[in-house]
Formats: sequence, C-alpha cells, structure tokens
Amino acid sequence: MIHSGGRRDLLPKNAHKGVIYILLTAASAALLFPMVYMVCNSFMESREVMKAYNEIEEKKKEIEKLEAQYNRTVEEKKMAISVKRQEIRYFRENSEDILPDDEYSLQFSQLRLDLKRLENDLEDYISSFELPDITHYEKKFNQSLQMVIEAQENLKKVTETFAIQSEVRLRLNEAQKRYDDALKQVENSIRTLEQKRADAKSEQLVYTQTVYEKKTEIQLAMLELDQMKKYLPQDGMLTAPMDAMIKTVSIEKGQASSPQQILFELIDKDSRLSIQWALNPEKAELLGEGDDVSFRVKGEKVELIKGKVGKKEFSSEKGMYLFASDVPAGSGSIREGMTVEISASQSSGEYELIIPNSSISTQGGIDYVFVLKERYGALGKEYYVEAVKISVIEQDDFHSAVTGALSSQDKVVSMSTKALEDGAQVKLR
Amino acid sequence: MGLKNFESLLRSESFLLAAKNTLIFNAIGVPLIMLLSLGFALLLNTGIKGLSFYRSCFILPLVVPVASVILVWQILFHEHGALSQLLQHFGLPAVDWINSKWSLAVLVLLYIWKNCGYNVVLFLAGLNSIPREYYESARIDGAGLWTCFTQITLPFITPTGFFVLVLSIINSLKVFRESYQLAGNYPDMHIYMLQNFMNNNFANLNYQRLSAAAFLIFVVIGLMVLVLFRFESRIGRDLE
Repeated sequence: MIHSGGRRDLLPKNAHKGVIYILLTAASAALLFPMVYMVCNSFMESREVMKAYNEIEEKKKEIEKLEAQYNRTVEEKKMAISVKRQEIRYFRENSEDILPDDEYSLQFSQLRLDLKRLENDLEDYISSFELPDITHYEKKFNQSLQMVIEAQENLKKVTETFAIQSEVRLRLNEAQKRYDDALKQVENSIRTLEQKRADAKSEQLVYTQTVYEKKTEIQLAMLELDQMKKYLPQDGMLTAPMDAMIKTVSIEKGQASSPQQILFELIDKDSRLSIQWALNPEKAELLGEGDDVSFRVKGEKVELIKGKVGKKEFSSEKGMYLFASDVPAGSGSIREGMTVEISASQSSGEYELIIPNSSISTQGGIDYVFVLKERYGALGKEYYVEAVKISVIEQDDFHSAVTGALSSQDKVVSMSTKALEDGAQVKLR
Repeated sequence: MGLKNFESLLRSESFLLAAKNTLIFNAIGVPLIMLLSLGFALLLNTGIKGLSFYRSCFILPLVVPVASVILVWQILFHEHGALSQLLQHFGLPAVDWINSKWSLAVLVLLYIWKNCGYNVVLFLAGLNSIPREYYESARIDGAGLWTCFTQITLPFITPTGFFVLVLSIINSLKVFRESYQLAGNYPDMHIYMLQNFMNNNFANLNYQRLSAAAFLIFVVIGLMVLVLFRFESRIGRDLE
C-alpha cells in the first residue's frame, strides 16, 4: 500500500525551504512595494508640501533679514566714509596754523593712523569684494543649448521617421514645439546672461571708481603727510612752514629755550592790516569809499603808506562815521596795535576867485564882500569900501571859491575893526 | 482605393516602427512573464505555509488601478527619480529611464508587475489539477525533481500554459494603457506601440488608416491564435 503523505511529500528532500520563502517574500515585496509606496505617499504628500511651503517661507524671511542687514551695513559704511571725508577736509583747512610741537606730532600721528585705517579699509573692501558668479547662468545657457541640439536631432529623426503622414504632423508639431521651447529658453538664457554680464560690468565700474576714490584719498593724505614731514624739526633746525614775515623775535642767540615757548611770530605775507578811524559827519562828507588816504606812524618821519578807504559806515551810537582801510602787513613800520596818522587829500575844480571865509558877509540871505576903492576928496586920496554881491561855489573851513563882479585885481576886505557898510570910508593898517 | 490604404499603411514608417516595437515587446515580455509566473506557481505549490498570503500578494497588483500606481513608476524611473539618485550615489550618471532606450525595459517591468499574479493563479490552478498519484508513482520509481517536472508537470500544464500564453499576448497588446499613462501620446520611440499608432490615427480622424491597421492586426492575431491552437491540440493528442 502506498501511503499518501500529501503535497509535502512531492517535494524533493533536498529542497531548501528557506530559499523558497526568501524568493516568494522578495517577489511579494516587489509586487507590493508600489502599492505600499502609493498608500504612504497619500498620507505624506500633504505634510511634505506643507513642510516645503514652511521652509520656503522661512527662507524668504531669512532672505529679507539678510537684505535688511545688508542695507543697514552699507548705509553705516557710507556714513562712516562721509564723516571721515569731512574730518580730513576740516583738518586740511586748519593745518595751515602753526601748532606746538607736541600737538603737531599728535595730529601728525593721528593723520598717519587715519591713513593706515583708510588703507586697511581699502584692502578689506578689495578682499571682500566678489564679482557676481555668472558661471551658473553660463551653465544653464549651455544646458539650454544642449537641449536645442537634442531637440534638433529629435526633430530630424522624427521628420525622417514619420515622413508626411497625418499623425506625423502632430509629432512634428510636438517636436517643433519642443524645439521652439528650447530655443525660447536659450534666448531667455542669453538675455539673462547678457543682463548678468551688464550687471557685472556695472559693478566692476563701481568697484573701479570706488578703488580710484580710495586711492585718491590715500594720495591726498600722503601728500599732506609729506608736507607735514617737510616742516618737522630736523637736526635742531626749524624751517618756515610758509611764505611769511617775522613779526616778532622773542629770543636771541645764546638764550635757552623751553618747551611751549614762543620763539618767533610769523605773519602771512598775504595777510593785511586793517586801519580804522572815525570822523564827524561834516568831515566824513569829504571822504568816500575808494578815496586815497595816506598813513604814517604817529611821531615818526618815515614815508607815507598809501591806501584806499575800504569801508565807510555811520555809527549811530557814536554819531560818527567809521572808516576802515586795509594795508599789506609789514608795510613800512606799521604794526598791529599801533596808532597812525591819517591824511586824505581831495582834488576839486580850479577856481579863479578864492577868498577867506571872513571876507564874506551875509545879509538877508545874500552873500557879498567889501571891495576897497580909492577916491580923491577934500583931504586928498581917501579909501572907502564898496559891497559886491557874490555867490559861493565851494567852501571849506578857511576859504571859499566865489563868483561875482570881482576881478583878481580887486582888494577884498578880510578883517575890519568895525562893521562895514557900503560906501563907508575906511583906513588901512 | 482597393488595397491602397494597406499599401500606404505598410509603407508607413510609424506603423512599421509600432509593429516592430510591439513584436519586440511581445518577444521579451511574454516569455519572461510565462517563466516567472510558472516559477512562482511552482514555488507556491510546494506546500509552504502562508500560501494564501503570498497568493494575495500576487493578486493585489491586478486589482489596483494602474493609473494610481503609475505615479510610483514615474517617481522611480524619472530622470531625477529614486533609481537615478541611487545611480548617482554610486557615481554613475542619471538616466531618464522613461524617455530613453530603457523605456522598453520599464514598460516590460510594469507589464510583468501587473499581470504576473494573474498568470500565477492560473498556473496554480493548472498545477492543482495534476493528480498527486502521478508524482507519488514517479517518486517510487525513482524519478527526480527535474524528471517529474518535464515528464508530469509540463505535459499536464500545457493546456493551462497555452491559455496563459494567449492571455499574456492579449495583455501585452493592451499594454498601451500603461504606456500612455507613463509617457503620454507620443512616448519614446522604443515604446511606441501599435495602440499608440491607432490611438493617434483616431485622434487625427484618419479612420481609413486606422481601419486598415485594425484589420491587419486582427488578421495577424487570428493567425497567431490559430497556430497556437494547432500547437496545443497537437500536444493534447500526444498527452492522450
């Protein structure tokens, strides 16, 4: 009798059951994998999308922060540069004054430090400056170009394969569309590349200009430094810092000097002294702006220094006119703080008849003078005066220029012991 | 017109390409699925534990709509998909599997994944129908595993195999659905099948060419089935 052991008995005795299980499990896993993946994906997709969206939002915020920080930093640097420029300009304007040695050295060191900082700043700027990377766009461009070539090849292949059949047209259109898209992409890439190149060029220009500015600033600072180096005490010799005149010498040969002691006082050759004076309104009328005046140190008999009236102003407080005139510093012996004599001359017209003011009598608003006349009377030759009407053309403190029925031969009475009247007999003394 | 439509059809390079691709796909896919199905059926028929679980695993791809699984295929075989990333991990270049010469392999894989389970079930049914006594007698007579397979299993399973073969061919001709969903109207030239050709002609309102192609395909498949029936009946006679 044959004993039936079931299906299991049909197996070869040497069959390895483990291998069978492994094979079947692997096959089952492979078959189930797409479905398991699909099921997992259905739960995970939305979460991944949200995660990606959140990441994008975070990146956006990060970019915004970086942009703000970048703008702030750039603004600060610009302001720092502006302040530094103003400081250098201010120092340049005030460096003309003579400073004591210590202060001078301090400022010199400060200037050198500033120069070093500028150099360092420039170096930092150069080292940190990076041109925009356009290799990415070039790579993209090349990829697009490759796509065009592939699309062209594909188009050619499709054209050859599908002759002129109706459905081929669709395929051709499809290929053509792909080609056109690729071409459009290439054009976009070219445009982007050009734009990036232009941007890079513009940034290069800005960079060059900035470097040029920085270099110029350094050159200026170096020039100033060199200029200051020139006036540094060298071997005990002090040299003049500018074209000037020695105003005072406070030390003599053989005397000992001490720090902070003033040895010489220099006056800029181009500087001027201002001479000021005041005149009452009457006299002030004779002197106007631009009129010639002469100055001389009071008590000295040296040559007159000529100048012009530079300013004329009425001071209501003093009730006088204030005049001012500038003369070159060092002119003659005039020094600051001295009192000077001022003389002014005014040229007027030529007059034929000038008589003393005392000769003129005024009666009823009419000016007249008495002219001496001769006549023969009972006692022989006698003198009398005749009143002649005149008009005063010009008058000063002592004399008057007149016109009237007078001649240069006429003798005009300038003084009398008694009041005169027309026809009165007089005696000469 | 007469035979002009057929003449034009046979001169059409697109039709010839589609026919060639379909033949290649059949030549690769059908034997492969037959071998794999039979192999898995034999393994499942060894009386292992958990047979129903494994059988369910094999059946599941058949009941899942392809459209929903195509996404997984695209993720796996995209140029930047999982497989390409795996290659890149080992320093190899990324491959656009769906739009290159590899597309045929992807389609074959999809075809096997989808239809293998069904064939396994059919083969299992065929295997179960073989009387156990035959094996027992052969084992008593000293027959080995290979002898049992060639002398008992193979002859008895031939009708089932024939049925599976016909079904596999039919299924392989219906692979257009997967191809269309995977690569669209105009897939890579390696997976441009007859169904793509017919579908595109239908979309272009070229019914004459479509009818001619359909008729031609019908004739070819009819002839093929006829040959297979003849072959099967000859084997059946031999078994008797």
